[in-house]
Amino acid sequence: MRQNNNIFNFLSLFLIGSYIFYLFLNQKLVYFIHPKYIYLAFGTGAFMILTGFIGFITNITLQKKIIFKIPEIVILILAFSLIFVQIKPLSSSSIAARIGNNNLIVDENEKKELIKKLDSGNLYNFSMYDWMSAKSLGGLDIFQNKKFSGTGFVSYSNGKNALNIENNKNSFYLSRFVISCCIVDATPYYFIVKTSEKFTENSWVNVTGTFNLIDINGKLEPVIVPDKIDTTQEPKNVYLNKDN
Amino acid sequence: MLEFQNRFNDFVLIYTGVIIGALPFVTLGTLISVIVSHYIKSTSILKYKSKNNILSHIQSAFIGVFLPVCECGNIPLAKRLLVVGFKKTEVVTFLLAAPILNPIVWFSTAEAFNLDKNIAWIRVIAGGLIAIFIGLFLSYCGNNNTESGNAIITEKKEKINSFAGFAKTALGISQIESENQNASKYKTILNLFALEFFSVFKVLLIACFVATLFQTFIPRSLIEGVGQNPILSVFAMIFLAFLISICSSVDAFFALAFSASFSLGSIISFLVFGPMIDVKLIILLRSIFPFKTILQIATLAFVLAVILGFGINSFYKFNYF
Repeated sequence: MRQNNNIFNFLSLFLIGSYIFYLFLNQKLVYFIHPKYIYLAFGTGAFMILTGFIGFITNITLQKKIIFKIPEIVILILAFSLIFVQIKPLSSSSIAARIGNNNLIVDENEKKELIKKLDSGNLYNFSMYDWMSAKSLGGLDIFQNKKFSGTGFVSYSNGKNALNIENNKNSFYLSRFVISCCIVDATPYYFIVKTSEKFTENSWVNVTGTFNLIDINGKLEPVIVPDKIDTTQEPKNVYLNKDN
Repeated sequence: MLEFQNRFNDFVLIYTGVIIGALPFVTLGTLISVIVSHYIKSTSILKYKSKNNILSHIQSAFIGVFLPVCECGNIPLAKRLLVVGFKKTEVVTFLLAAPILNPIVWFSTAEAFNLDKNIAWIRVIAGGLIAIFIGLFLSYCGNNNTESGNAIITEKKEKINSFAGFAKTALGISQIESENQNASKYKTILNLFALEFFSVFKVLLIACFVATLFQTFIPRSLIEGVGQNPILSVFAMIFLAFLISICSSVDAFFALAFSASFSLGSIISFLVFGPMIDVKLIILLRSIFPFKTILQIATLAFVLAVILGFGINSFYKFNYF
């Protein structure tokens, strides 16, 4: 019976490895982990496929009769069905559970780099992550009248407060999750975009505009006044990180 | 309906993500465990283990220095250490210390807290001391905690319905080893790997499920309000560490996000307590220890992490960052 269980184990190893391989081929591993760990996950998946395959073949030839228990069959079916689940990146539904103080923490070196970029006046290469980090530089004055261009998903709630700009009708949160390792540490950050245009929740948009400092619930916030908002495809790296 | 779909998607995503994140470490930990079991004789491991109770616990704490795996990956090796004859309390010290006294964890903590490398050192030293203290405390004050893994197996052979999977796995391993005496070396290793991997993986599936439930339904903002309080912030960050079940090799980056609004003591408590006890680990530990032992470990770790946090907050200027 134990040998049969090991056949189940090898088959499961093969299936789990195949699922990771499938995610890798479909470029969906970035939904789960930081891009720098993708090859580690892929390597683990490849190892599991190989181990599972060799183990299954070598063990099955020794078996006269293979018996699977019902829970094992259920687990195999569930594991296999994962491939058919249409997975999307972390949505705005997770914002409420994960929202912090919306201030991205950066180290001294990153601050110096940011200041250098800001002083140069060339903000075309300033990414969404850079702008989110810029809030940690201190005063919000650096945002005033600065040009912004960035991609994020649309959310109409930040999980804490309702937007208070003109009764919440003319704005949305341009949001992104930031990760350092994997989806477990994903934390949402956002900028408010002031517009009367309506977009579907969780749709991806590219916003070009200018920052204005506006009083939101008694606190000054850098709000984007857009020149142009285009709906766009989901970016290659759905979550922001230090390196992109 | 759309909200439900999104929530379901996020739940599946987080659940799968936690498992994918843990898989490389569990695989590596199992491989090391299998290699240790197959290539290194238990007598040669025990030869280097001090007979002095205090020294043997210190040695157990430092095993993690050679293992670049996180807490989940240490479970298979912990089982193996019990099998070769380590005392239960030494394995407790190993399990608590290894995810912290580990080069990768030191580097990631130092990188995350670039601002102050002392945090990485405080974490390593405090974590190591707490782990050794808990092991020693249980060995001197606990009941039947000095028994070795071999004793546990012998006992469990008589009571097959043992606590969780440890004894079953140990028995399975010895069965495989005896059945494969004439088989090729690689086949024995393969069979051992599959058996050990799944003994951890099955528990990991349940542990990750519980961790995902907490991740999805308990808002982090619940704890945010107390960040400025030097006492409550410590409890809050320990509570967060318990719920979030994040891998010790990367938790420093997560803690960094809280460093602006939380006291230094609470951040250190998070970094020390998290790798020792969390929702996921408690379920994983059940595959080795009875619930009573886990409760003793968790209580001691909690109390010591709280004392550490309070102590640091008292000595350092509040809101250090």
